[in-house]
Amino acid sequence: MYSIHETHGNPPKNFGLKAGEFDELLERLLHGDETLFEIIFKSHFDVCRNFLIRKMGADQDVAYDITLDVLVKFRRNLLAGKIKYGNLAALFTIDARNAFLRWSEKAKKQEFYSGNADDLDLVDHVEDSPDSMENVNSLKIALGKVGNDCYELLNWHYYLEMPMKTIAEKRSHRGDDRFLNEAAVKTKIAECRKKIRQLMGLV
Amino acid sequence: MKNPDNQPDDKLFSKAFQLLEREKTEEMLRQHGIQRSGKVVRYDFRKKFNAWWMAAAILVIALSSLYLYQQMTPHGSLQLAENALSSVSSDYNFSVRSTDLPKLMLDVQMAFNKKDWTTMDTLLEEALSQSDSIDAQTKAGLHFYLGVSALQQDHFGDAVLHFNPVIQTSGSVYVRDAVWLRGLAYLKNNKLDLALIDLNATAREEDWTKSKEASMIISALEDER
Repeated sequence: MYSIHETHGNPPKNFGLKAGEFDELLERLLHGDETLFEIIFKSHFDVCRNFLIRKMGADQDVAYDITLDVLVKFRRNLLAGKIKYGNLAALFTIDARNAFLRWSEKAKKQEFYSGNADDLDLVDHVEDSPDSMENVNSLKIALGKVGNDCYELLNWHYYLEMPMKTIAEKRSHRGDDRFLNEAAVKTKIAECRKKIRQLMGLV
Repeated sequence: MKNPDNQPDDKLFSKAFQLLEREKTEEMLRQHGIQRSGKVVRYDFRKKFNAWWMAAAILVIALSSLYLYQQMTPHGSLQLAENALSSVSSDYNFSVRSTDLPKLMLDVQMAFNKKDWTTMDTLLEEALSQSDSIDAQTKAGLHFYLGVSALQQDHFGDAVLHFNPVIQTSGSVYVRDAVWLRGLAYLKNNKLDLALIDLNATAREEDWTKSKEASMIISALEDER
């Protein structure tokens, strides 16, 4: 059982985790064990949100949304292997600070042009047409039905942007010998996409 | 956005996963009691709690409105009579019209002001017992206040008995008031025909403030009939 190693005053530097614990939990996170993620947001979500409110002057809702977005991004980077053990808490807070500054900049522009910054997106979302949002929603539903194996493969490939080779390595490491090489992964992804198309009623 | 080969493109997958991951993260936060300010999700009874408060507020407003409605709208004849009777003691501030019984009447006045009806009755009866030495007008005045006292004690039959000699005393300053109050006493005793006679007489006194009150009671009586 892992517990956060408390430090007095400041939040724990690496969410209270030692390097070995972090690596082990990170590997487990990739395979669906959310312990690491829970440790991170339990130890740092409120710290970060309060930082945005008190130090950056964000209001409650903006602070929540930015911290949530940074947390999602942080999780994605963890899973994609883009974040290594170090001063993780500071990294998280810096990300949040930068996200808030970007948002403030956009809010100022929005207010300048339209006089209203209330409807401003908090993250850098691509403009979505109603048509594309309809497709996204339909794809979300299909992904919910496609099965764990396909979901994980597609997630690693499209969301984490993991190279085929890395996917093959990770799956083989887990003892899954169906994906011994990149070609096998590619074939499986194509099958999964076909399944998605069927679920979306496109074939 | 679709590809020419009718497949969801990479961006669409990326976008869908972004949304799914965000929803999943938000759900996990909620499960650990972290949520947007103003939204309590861990214990999802706040909305219900608010609903109870709303229902209670609506009930209070409805009851208040009903109360105000009842206060502001015309009532039944008995309620109107009750309202009229409630102002009797202030309407008829005691004044001595006879100089023959100064000490006794001063005591009556004090009893009236203290709403000590028993003492007032005793003193007025004592004054009446000396009727040989007082004139008819003074006698009528004593009866009138005995009638007022009887009204205050809800002795409506006695009130009528005291108002009758007042009304029969020609030239008494109390006649008009005695008719009005007798009408109310009849009404309270459920003698509606007799009440209507006195109330109609009062209603005809158009220059008098009680005329309007009498008209309202008559109107309510007619509605009730």
